[in-house]
Amino acid sequence: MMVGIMKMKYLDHGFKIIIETFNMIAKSYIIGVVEDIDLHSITLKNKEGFLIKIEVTSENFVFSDYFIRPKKFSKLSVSKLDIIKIEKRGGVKILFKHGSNDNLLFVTDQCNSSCLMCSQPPKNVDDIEYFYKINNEILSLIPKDIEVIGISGGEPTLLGEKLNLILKRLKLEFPNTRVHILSNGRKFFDKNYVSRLSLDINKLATFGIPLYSDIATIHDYVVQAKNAFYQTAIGLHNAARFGLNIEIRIVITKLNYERLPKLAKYIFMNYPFVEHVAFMGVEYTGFAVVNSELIKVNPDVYMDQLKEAVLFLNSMKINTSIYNLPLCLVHRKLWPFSVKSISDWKQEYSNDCKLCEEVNICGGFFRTSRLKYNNINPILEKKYNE
Amino acid sequence: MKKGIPNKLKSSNGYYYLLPFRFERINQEKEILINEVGDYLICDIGTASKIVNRQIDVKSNFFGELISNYFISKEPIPALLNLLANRYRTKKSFIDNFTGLHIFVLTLRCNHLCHYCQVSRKNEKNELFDMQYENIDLSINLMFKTPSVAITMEFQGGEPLLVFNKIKYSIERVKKLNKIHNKKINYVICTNLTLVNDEILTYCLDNDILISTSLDGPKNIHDENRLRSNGPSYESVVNALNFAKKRIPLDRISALMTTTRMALNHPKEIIDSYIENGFNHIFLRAISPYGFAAKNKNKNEYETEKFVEFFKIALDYIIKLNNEGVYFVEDYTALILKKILTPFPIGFVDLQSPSGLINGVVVYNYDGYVYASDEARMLAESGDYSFRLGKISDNYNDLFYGEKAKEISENGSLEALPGCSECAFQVYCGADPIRNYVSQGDTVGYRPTSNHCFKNKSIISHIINLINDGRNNENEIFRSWI
Ligand code: SF4
Ligand code: SF4
Repeated sequence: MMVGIMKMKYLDHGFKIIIETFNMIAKSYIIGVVEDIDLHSITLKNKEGFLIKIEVTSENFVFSDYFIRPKKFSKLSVSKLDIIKIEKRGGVKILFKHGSNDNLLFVTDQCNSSCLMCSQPPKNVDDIEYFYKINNEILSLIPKDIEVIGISGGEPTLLGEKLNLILKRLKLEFPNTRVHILSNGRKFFDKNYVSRLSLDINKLATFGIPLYSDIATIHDYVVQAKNAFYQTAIGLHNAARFGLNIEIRIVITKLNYERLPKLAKYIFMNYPFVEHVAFMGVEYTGFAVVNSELIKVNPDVYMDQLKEAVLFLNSMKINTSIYNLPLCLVHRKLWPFSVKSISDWKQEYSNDCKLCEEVNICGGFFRTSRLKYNNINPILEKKYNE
Repeated sequence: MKKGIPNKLKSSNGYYYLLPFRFERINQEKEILINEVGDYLICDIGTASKIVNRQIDVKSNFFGELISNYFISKEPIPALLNLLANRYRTKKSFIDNFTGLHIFVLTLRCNHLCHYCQVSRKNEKNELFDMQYENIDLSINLMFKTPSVAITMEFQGGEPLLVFNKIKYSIERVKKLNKIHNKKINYVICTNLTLVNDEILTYCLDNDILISTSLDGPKNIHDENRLRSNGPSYESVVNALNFAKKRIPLDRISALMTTTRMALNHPKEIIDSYIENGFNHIFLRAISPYGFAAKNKNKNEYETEKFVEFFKIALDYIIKLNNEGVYFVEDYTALILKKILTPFPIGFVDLQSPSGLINGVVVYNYDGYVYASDEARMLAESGDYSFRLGKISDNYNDLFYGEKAKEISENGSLEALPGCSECAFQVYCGADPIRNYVSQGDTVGYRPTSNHCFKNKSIISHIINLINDGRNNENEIFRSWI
């Protein structure tokens, strides 16, 4: 297939525009750093250093497979130095937001668990190779001094050797970057696997691993996988043994909220080596919507348990945070633990929030969430005593 | 399975297996179950019996809780056995380091005449009771042989400041030798403070030496207990304390109190006097049955029961103070709490099993011999050399792993002592074969009449009741202590 696009080479004195045709059969997308952007086009620089100009136009008027539909363009909040992927026939996706601390390498849609409140339901597709290529391109394009980068899926450990390769690359090329990997930790059950991983990983890397209950059957039910609790429990100890940094992530649902204080104690007694524990509100999308009957619980219902759990861990000197909950629904004593955790592009505030004094420190809620909180209660007085 | 629609996971039901755990009634309604690594569950009376009789509903959360906390298992070999093993290893990791506390008794001379004195002090001028330089050198060599990377070198007496030149000599020598050994060394001087001066305090400050002194409470109690050869000592201690506080930070000074019969009636006054003197913690220590304390039976023999009562009142008062915003810690409680509430071991030699003798502490005595503990050298002062490991000039292996050491360790594990082996509080308690020997005639001892056992059992059970009750913020306060 012949594709005619403008291909420009950056030279010291400016662009040399080579209008040429070249073969793009192998790839169905172009990835590059946004060099320039105006109302009619985006100019990308790909990893070979070529500048590629993509036009904003409707399908009928293009002479290239690569273009951006005007409708998509108007919704796209892309800025210079972002990394984007242009797909054939008009698709466009931001892969990396310049200056954001929320960038991640998405490695697969597959997962060996199937959590009842998964916001990104796993797909049984053979996509590892596809994402692996994309992620390697991203790694070639991003600045070497970025502070933090995430790795997420799906379940990253399903990548096998390819995860080691990505981690090795990060370790070599980004020695000062904090790598944050979201994994269910079940694979860590295999200590040889962990031992190899520990060799390939940068010292600043952290694994965020979910543990939903101190009771095996509850955890297994939430993640819909038998023996998951045991695998993760042993996995956590293997991880500690080989020096991996661990964060425990607890999504709060109707199924586990009652035992949060017991879970906190269980974590401290059995996994005191964790460097962080995060309690998280649900993003009601994906499976969480399908299963909302089963899992939905309002923050005011579990606030006492959450308070006890968080204050306990804090008093035991375990770094603890609360993610994804609007500040007005969180007990005041827990405000110091509340983190503005929702990515800016997913973040939303309600009309009431305009009145709120704390809107700057509140993370708001998920724009993507299908079930909204009905008791948002703007904070009108900053200094208010308990 | 339809996408995203939950599956009920099959639960295996039926039989379950017991893992080692112990239990004890703590009040009229509750009993406590404690597992091999100190995790506890406080339940209704009768729960242990239900567990053992396989009457726990396998579908209940309590069943899951028993599994996660290593009380029972669905399989003959528990799925999380490795976790339990790691936990056990952690709890017992104090043994890995072997001897951490090295006590140097550089002199037996003292300028005080405390009636409960645990070492029979000698006249302040008689230099026969000082350690020879040669023995100091040899002791330091032995100390450096310990595998422990962190060691504490503690100078006791007598009154060690009577031979401050020898303290200085020892520390300077250790500092030089440590260039090869690279250990982390803490220094402590136990002193009645009456001899401190600018030179000594500057030296302590420069070398980050911790000063440990004795303060028995307010003037009337302190003076009753602690006489100087030339009269009462309270004024001089407090003056010295104030003098010292101006020169070194207060967290480098600590005070120890000994509870005598007179003190028993004044828990609050004693604590107040600690606060007045700027301390934020106290170690409520029962008098020990050694040395002068053993001889002065009339004056000091009070029933342990009374001490336990005193302890409870004092602890209540301390909790009240904490609730009023005064951060103040009772150290013995804090040590036990750390054993109950955390997965970590503690470095306190009296609450360990295997016992802290030799494993945790050893004494190089002015007389040229090595002893298994502070108490062992006090026994020697009354002519009983049962726990003398050998001469300072002997070789390390013969002293630390020799026949005597083996003999002592024989009865040094609660796990293997009658009474203790099935005691619920075993994980929170400690073995002390020398104390058994002194108070009951042999190193095994007999728990039903043991004061040491009574004291620990009562205190541990009291602390557990406070944790269970928690109505005065005990749980928050306790957590702030550990
Ligand atoms: S009113 Fe809005 S901005 Fe204020 S705390 Fe609640 S959610 Fe946050
Ligand atoms: S000494 Fe007493 S309290 Fe301590 S373990 Fe033995 S029996 Fe239990």
